[in-house]
Amino acid sequence: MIPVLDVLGVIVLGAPAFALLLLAVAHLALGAGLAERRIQQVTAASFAVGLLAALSLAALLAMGDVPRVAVSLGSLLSLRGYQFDVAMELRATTLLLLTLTFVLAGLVGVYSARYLHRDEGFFRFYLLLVVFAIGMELIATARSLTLLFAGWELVGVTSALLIAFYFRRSGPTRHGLRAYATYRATDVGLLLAVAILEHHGHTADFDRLGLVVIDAPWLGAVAGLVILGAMGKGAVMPLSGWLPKAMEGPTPSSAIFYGALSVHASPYLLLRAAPLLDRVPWAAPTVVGLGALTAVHATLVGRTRPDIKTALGYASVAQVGLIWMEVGLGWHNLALAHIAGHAALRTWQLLRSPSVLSERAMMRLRTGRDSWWAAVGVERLVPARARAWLYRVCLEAWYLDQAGRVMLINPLAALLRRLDRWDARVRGWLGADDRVGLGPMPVAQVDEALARHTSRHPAPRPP
Amino acid sequence: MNAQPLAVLTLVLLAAGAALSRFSPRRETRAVAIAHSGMALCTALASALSIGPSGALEGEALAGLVATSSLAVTMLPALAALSFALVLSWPEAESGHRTVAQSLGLPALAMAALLAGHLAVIVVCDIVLAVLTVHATEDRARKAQAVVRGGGVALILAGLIAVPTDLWFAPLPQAAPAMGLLASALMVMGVALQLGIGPASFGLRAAMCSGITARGVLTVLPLGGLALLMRVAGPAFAAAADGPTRHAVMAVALLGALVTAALVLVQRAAGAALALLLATSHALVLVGLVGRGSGAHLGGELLWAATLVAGAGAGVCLLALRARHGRLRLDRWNGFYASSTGLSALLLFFRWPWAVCRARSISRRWTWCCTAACRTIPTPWSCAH
Repeated sequence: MIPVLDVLGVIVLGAPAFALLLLAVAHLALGAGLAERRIQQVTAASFAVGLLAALSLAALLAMGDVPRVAVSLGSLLSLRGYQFDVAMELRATTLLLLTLTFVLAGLVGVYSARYLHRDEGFFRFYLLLVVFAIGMELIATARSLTLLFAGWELVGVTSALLIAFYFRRSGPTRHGLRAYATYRATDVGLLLAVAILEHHGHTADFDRLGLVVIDAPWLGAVAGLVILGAMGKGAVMPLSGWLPKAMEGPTPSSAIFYGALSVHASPYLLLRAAPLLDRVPWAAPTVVGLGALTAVHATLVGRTRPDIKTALGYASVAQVGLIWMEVGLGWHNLALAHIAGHAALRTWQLLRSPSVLSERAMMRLRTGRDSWWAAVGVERLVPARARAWLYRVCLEAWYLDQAGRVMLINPLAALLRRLDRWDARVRGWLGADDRVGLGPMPVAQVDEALARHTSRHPAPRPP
Repeated sequence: MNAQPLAVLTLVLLAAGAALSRFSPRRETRAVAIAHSGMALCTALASALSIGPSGALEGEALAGLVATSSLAVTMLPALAALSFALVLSWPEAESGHRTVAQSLGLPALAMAALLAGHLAVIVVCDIVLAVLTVHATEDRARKAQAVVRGGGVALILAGLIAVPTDLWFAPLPQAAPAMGLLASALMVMGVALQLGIGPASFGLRAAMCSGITARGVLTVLPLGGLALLMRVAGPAFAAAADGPTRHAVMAVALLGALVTAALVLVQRAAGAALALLLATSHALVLVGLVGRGSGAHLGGELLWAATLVAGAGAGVCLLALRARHGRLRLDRWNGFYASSTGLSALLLFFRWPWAVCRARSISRRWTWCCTAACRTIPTPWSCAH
């Protein structure tokens, strides 16, 4: 039984990596000649194989008496007692997220074959989809927070690159950068948490997070940093400003990232770090509070959005807020079920979003009203006088972006520009100012450079 | 296979390549440099691999003038790869005698400092390296470079003077522990100044005052002073300083890293951003190398190697992008992927070798490489030609 389990474990974890290798080799060999159909087939086949292996493994784990399957790729670094193993494990909860990943990524892969037909970025999209699946696998199966961080980064990078998918326009590239900046700022928290755990606790293994011996202040710091790390990916208050901008990417990528998997990596991280968070008294109330605030914020703001993708994005965040609350309250199984159900529903909604107008028209024709949820508006609970004010505030997303700009970005930028000017003054004093500038080279400088060149390399005399 | 002769051979090959490429005919300069740095890379890899996965190497050669350690030998491939990549990738317009020779000469000097067996020899190597770096930089940036490098060298010399003279030529394992706090602190400060940490980053930015150039990239790479810090000053400071002092130095370096990293955010010129990013990495390298414990030291060493290779790669990419798009503005970067597919796809690592192989110039480079190998090595085959 055990060898079968091991083989299945390797297949589950290796399927997307194999697809990546195959796509890369095929692209190197054939270049632009690689047919769209083949790309889609390779991707779909790898996800199908991974899904079958995951389901078989889940069935065998349920039948047998084996709680988990460990897969180790060896040790990356070994130094005086410290050892960093590339080790993963597959459990029932892990397999749930992996199954979800394979199903939804495969679905999105099939959908995208038509959505992105003849698009110049067709291969790029599928490549990033496979890399994203590898990142999600690492997040789900890593045995330590250190290895999870690698998957966390892969997901972040692919997310930013897919937001900037239509890179010829400045909007998507700017918004991709914004999302990436938010990820990086919060990932620093996760990285510092890993560093503190490895330095003071000598381990970041999930199995030992509940037992690791570490001073209370450091433990509190680690819990806070893990929560900060999870806030970025989940677009939790007050870091939700990047989410509407992230909808610039293709609809399939929005579905898989902001409807299905990427946003749910945030509460999943909290679930995995739960033994550590349970040891810090203020961690659970903080998680609950942030989740509640996010749910209220996203619900209200989402109802004022004029476009379907942004509204669905905010609806996702509202659900992520609720899942955070469930994690904070200790309802871990409910949170897992919520993740699976919500991911499936939201992916379906986002994939259907391009045809929302025809669907609404059809509904109006058949039922005689706009939509069933329009009749259940919570706005009616708000007094009429406050309704306009609330609408305005929600339309501006509670002024979070503006507040961030006024209170953090602008003062910081002003300080940095002042430092930069001092630096430029010192360089100017030493004769090394940026005289060339950024625009095209001035005519005077071109003449000067030509004269210098001619004096050094005189033209040969004609014979 | 013994690692010591291979390490020395690597150094000799790089130094010979620098000298020969400086004085060879213009058309052959680059070929000579590519051949020598390629061979140096092979010997450096052989030297590092001959240590084995867990073997420790400590030994002396040439009457103690060369002292090889596993720490130093494992750094040789990074320096040789740096030279090889630079001479292979410089744009045609910027691969003159001087730049090509410096691309081999500066790493060769850093390598000499890594392999030197005496404190005084390491300091001399660093002084020569600083002088050559000032010489290598842009005309307008020389004054700023001279201030930074000169200040650094002065502090290092002050540190050397504070060390008893009988330790100058003593074996390093004896000299390092006996240096004392003052001497090691002065040397650490000197190296920090040379690396452009914190406020001293103006030296690195000055090197990019005319935008991204090959000479600017050469100047900002972390070559000067790091061997001294890694082999002598760092361990000596970590041993002599008490906890709060060491932590204060590390905190200052971290603050410097934070400031330079933040300054990248307000840059519009790609060259300035690269210089400040490298300054950030240098500060983190310093934090690792003055930390106590082999983990911190190993982290600093690995980050140095990574900074060397990644910094050179980023510089070369930016040079190529500048050749296609003119001066690079970081706030108008969208659309590069379409017109510079090969360069942009560096993100996807496996795409890169193919893009390089498909480049039309590779055949010419390969011809140069073969020509140079034939002309510099007296083999029967070259004689027949």
